[in-house]
Amino acid sequence: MTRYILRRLLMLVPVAIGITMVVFLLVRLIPGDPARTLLGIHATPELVAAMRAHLGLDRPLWAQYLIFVRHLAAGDFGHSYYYGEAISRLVLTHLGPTLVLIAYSVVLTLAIALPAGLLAAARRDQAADHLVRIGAVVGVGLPSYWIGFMLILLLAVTIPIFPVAGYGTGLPSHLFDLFLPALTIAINLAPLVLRALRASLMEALASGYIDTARAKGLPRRVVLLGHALPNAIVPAVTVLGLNIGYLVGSTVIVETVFAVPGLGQLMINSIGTRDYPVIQAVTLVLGVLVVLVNLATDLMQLLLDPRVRREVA
Amino acid sequence: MSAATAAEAGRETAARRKLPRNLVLGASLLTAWVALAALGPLLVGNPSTMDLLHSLRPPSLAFPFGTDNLGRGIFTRVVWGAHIDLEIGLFTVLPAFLIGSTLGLLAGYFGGLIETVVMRLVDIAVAFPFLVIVIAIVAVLGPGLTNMYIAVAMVGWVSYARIIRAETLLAKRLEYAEAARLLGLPDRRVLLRHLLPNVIPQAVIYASSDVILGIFLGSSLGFLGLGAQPPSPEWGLIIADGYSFVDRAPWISAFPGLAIVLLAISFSLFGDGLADFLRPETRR
Repeated sequence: MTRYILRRLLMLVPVAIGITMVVFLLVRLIPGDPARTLLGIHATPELVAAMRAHLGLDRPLWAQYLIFVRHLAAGDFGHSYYYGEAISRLVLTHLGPTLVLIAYSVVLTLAIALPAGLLAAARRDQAADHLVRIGAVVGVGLPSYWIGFMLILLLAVTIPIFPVAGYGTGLPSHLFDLFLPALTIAINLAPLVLRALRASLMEALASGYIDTARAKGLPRRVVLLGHALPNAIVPAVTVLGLNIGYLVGSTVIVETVFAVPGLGQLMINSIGTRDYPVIQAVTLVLGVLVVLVNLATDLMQLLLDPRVRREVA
Repeated sequence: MSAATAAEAGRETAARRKLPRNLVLGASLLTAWVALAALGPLLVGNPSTMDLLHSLRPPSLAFPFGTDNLGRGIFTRVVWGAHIDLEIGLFTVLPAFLIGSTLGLLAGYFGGLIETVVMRLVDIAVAFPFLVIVIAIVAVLGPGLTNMYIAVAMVGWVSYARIIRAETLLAKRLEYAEAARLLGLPDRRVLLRHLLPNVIPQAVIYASSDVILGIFLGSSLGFLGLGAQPPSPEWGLIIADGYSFVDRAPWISAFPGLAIVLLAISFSLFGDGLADFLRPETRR
């Protein structure tokens, strides 16, 4: 198993090279002098000259890439000329809200998908099952910026429980203010998890060990929660992991809708100000985030499923 | 094969070819959408005509979906938006479909260097969240629909390349493909006449659900101010406009959102039906 984990970690190397290359080339897509692009239109000639030397623009492209990576390794994302701050600091202050939002969305997704999936599987082909399935079809078919709008209309304007926007201070306040944003993402995401869970629960419920458990006279609840669910949870976790890129993408929209001061909002604001180094940095950080979560999902499967452990051993 | 089983197989094929109900329903709904997108704009008038005397009016007979802060009829704008958003669906999917299927077919058939290059590009592209990388490319190229189409094509082809490569790898080992090659047919002919018709259905099925994702993406970018630009009546853009009036005029954002939901349901019925029709063996 250690070997599997090591091999999995080694696979990160080409991905890391790929991600940094794309982010490096991104700014080179813009016609003109990258140094001038990165510094903005008000840069002095001296500053542009200094930037050219810093980026190694007189050298071949591959050497420029190596310089770029060396800067990254030192935590140097460059300087935002709009915020007048080191980008590494800017990214760190905006990372928190995004991480809280992602974790919160996952919790709410599971809080919807688990009970609904169990209900649908336990009452297969009955009214509850049909209701859950129709809800799932509608849930994925709603664009997140519109779910956000309807939630604001319902739970912030018509019945004013939650704030229209904001992040608050302190964790309880964060969780209160981020409830609608996280729910917006969960409404999109829960149907996918729920479908996977329902399907794998059905499969589990049809297996021999379930017949045995029932024959022993165990109560339905114990059979469902104690025997079927542990065997059916892995595909649901996998689906959640596969959709993490989608989740991270949604945070960009949802942060804009609810004015959450996260990385997505930083990115969108920076597009307006043509703050290219910031766009570059946020793209990189969100890419790395997805890669790390995928890694965590793979390791989680090892933890949850002894069969996967045996397979890789 | 005996005559009896041959007849049975023939009958089964005929039975399988009966059109699935969701395909018929989905196709009818989509036809209605296309008709609305094509003919609607001729019937409802100009979507940018302002009428400040009738601003922020709730839905009524004169303004079925109400009006916005500039007195523009939301109904008129939503009808025009159908035209724009269907176009977004087409232009986000078509280039990705063509580029990805071609590269996937070549990678799967020839292997070697081209396969390595294509698959490494795929690995890199899927490492990023799709929306984030598209936004980053649009940020660099500049906001607007054309640049958005370019950005989506740059990243979106990978799904098609993956699907078609996998299908081609399987198909080229089947007897008909081996036979075609043993006959000494040129690669070009084997690829286009023998393999392509057999591997492309999977990509078509994927494309039918990808269209709605493309429309979601396009309207999301419109919403963020990076796609269609004002005063375009693109649905995401109308919804973004309506956010400022959520307490006074919720109909501005509500109706274009409903339109997207209905369009999404139409496409998903069509896509499921198409999958049943093209892959009858997976149908229960």
